[in-house]
Amino acid sequence: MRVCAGETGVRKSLTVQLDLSNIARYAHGCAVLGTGGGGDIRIPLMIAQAAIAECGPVAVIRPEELADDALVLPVGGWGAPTVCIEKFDSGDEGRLLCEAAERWFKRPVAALMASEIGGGNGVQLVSWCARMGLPLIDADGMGRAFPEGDMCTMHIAGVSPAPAFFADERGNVMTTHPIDALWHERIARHLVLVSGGVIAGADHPMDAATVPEATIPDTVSLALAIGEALERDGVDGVLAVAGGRRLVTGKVVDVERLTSGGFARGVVTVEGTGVDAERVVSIQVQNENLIASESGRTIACTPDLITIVDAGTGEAISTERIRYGQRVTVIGMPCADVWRTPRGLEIAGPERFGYDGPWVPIEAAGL
Amino acid sequence: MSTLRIGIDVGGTNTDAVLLGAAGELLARTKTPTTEDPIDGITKALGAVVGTHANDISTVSLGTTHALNAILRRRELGRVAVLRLAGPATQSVQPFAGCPEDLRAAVDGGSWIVRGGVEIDGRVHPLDVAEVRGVLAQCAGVDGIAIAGSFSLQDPVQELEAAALVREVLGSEISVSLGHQVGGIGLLERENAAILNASLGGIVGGVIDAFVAALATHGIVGTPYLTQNDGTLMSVEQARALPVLTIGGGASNSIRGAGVLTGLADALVIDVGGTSTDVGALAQGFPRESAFGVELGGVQTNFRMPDVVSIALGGGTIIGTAGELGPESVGYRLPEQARVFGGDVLTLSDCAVAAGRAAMGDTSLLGGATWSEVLASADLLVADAIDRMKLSRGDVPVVLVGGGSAILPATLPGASELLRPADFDVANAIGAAVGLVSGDAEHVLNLGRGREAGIEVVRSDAAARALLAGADPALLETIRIDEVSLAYTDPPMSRLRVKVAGPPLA
Repeated sequence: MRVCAGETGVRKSLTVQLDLSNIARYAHGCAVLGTGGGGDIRIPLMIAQAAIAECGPVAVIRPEELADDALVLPVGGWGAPTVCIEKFDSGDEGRLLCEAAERWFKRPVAALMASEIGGGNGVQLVSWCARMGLPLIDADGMGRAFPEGDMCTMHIAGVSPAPAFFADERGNVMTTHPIDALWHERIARHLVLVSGGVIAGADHPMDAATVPEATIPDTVSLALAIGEALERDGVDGVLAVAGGRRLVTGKVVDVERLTSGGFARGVVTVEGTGVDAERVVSIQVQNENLIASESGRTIACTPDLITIVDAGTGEAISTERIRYGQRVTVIGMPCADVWRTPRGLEIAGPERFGYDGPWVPIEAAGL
Repeated sequence: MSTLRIGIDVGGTNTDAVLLGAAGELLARTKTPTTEDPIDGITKALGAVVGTHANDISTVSLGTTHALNAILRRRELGRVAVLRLAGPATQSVQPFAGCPEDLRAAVDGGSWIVRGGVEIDGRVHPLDVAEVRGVLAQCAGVDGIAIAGSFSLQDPVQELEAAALVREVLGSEISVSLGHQVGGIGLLERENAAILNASLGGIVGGVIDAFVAALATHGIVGTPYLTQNDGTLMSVEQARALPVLTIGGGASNSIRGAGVLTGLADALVIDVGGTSTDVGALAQGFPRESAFGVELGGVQTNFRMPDVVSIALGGGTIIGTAGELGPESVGYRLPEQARVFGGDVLTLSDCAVAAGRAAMGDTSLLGGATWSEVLASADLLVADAIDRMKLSRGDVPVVLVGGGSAILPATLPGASELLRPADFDVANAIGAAVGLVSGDAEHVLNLGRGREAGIEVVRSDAAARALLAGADPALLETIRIDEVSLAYTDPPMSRLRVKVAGPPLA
């Protein structure tokens, strides 16, 4: 069953390619789906623009448009955002990943798909598609951003992460055969270190026929529609397209940062202004925005999406860029149904991040 | 004895200068129109304040918009060849990507990404010396070389190695700008900073020559300094090497000057001009800096500029027939066009006079009308800007400077007190005159190797820069340490910036 984008009619207005005219809007949509994480979109956007300018636009297709046994490769970047602003793609990573997969499967890669649509990870692979002349599947494995590789719908669906392929910007290529998603995450983090902090990866390779049951559909169209609505109507446009709710509009009055276990943790406090005067909403952050609460009551919670956007422009503000005094709107968006299953909540619900449950759907907050 | 100080601030409309005594007291001040060639106005302003004290001057500090204007107008910029040390990494985004075409046309002298670069963990990928020599052989005739390498702030060794090769191949005359000397973290932004720096050598060198000549004309013995983005000073030698750092002195000087005039180290500063109002913040005696790098002439850099909220509101703001505020302004024509001066344009200054806030012109020309609603909405805009700039919920002291500040009321929401110091209209030149000399350094810190030791490394790097800029080594102080932890790093790492400053070496 298709959720959100398909039902809200986004599909009808789908531009079937990503080109220089819409790639920036798409990237801003990815940032909104990034819930504060997923990496900054700025350099991935420049990389994608350069690749499209050089090699042409990227076709966006549904998995049904491929033969059932066509090989679909979910891809993304692993590593530290700060490293990505000092050393980024050579531009050859997509080719190296595809060639590694083709050597193993002895058949061509038919399309790439984002492992994670949120943030820069939804954008970077557009350059790989452009350079390889491959279509981009209109789906992804998260529908948002999450901090760990096993927090993906392919994991819920029981698709094996193996074989997984990695390539770095110096041309090193590695193939791994992890026994499960947790080992995959563990091994990948070590490869990231060896390669100096960032690495490109492909995992959970699938037949096209498996894609609909193992991924969240239409998220590329959704990101593009969010980006278009944002440019046209600001925050209201984003809320309408994403089925989101305005949790609070106000001013950031406190940003408390902690570091533990390699994650940027913290609490962002937003004091309401205007119609929200007297309200105070706090957001728990671990790379992504995970829980929003008011007077001790949860009003939105992972795996539902919480994104802090500029109250004026509607542009998403990533976790590292939140500062005291910013005028923001905190928006909440319902996650895909697959995350609301017992298995989905086990993998990406509040308890997984060390918070008390149970998970409360955003619709129950009454905002 | 040389104990007097001169400060000069070249603004868009006026060139202001002050002469300060040994205790910081104001001995002389002048405002002259900024000239087509700003150096004429500078020479004139110097003459107006120096009087008989030419032999008593210890320092002369100049804040100028020459470099910024050259970038904005794409004029008098040198042609620059770019050498990025990172390949094969980063080839997906070439140098000059995102640079406006007209700026690129003025500056681009060719660009190359050669093999090399440093990793976050300190590993160095060696340069291919033959490759670098081959590239440099194609660079003859450019005005400068910009060199930027991955993680060069962690270890500048490779940028220095490449610079030595440039000297060897192209001679010691050519200007070489190294990323680690001009920019912070972010390779593309640092590369852009190095490019702009290399392109500004000619024009800023010319300004410095003229500045030094103007001092000689008046027989002034003091040491010349230029003001930089953070409101501190650097020697002319350093300004010749790092001209791009002179771009943002103006706003900083006003904020520093407001601190000096009031004795406050922490306050908000509202600078009201004819057309716009800037609200900045004084934090521990220095202008608070923007959290992120700024765009300059359409190019993304990682310079920190003073954190300022600007609103289109000033003494010359034109009031529409339905009471709407601007954003148009009569600007410097206020003394002819405002109603209190017999003109036919209703300005915010007229409203302020009618309400008794300001006294200027002939009140009878206003015909007894009051515009309390207009003033209320103007006050609301200023109060909102104050709220945006405040660092905490409590009220803060607010200093009013700039020629247009008379339009503001006696109290404002968010302000614990409103201070209107004497000589508020030359706060910028005063800020330049009293500037300290600073050095800034930014590193990614490996917390696994000990945090304190790491901070010390960054601090001594910053101190070395301050000494190069002309600070007194005996009086250096650490002004600020900013640390941000980084996600997904193992061992844990943080991004650390340290600023040290001290008075100019006497």
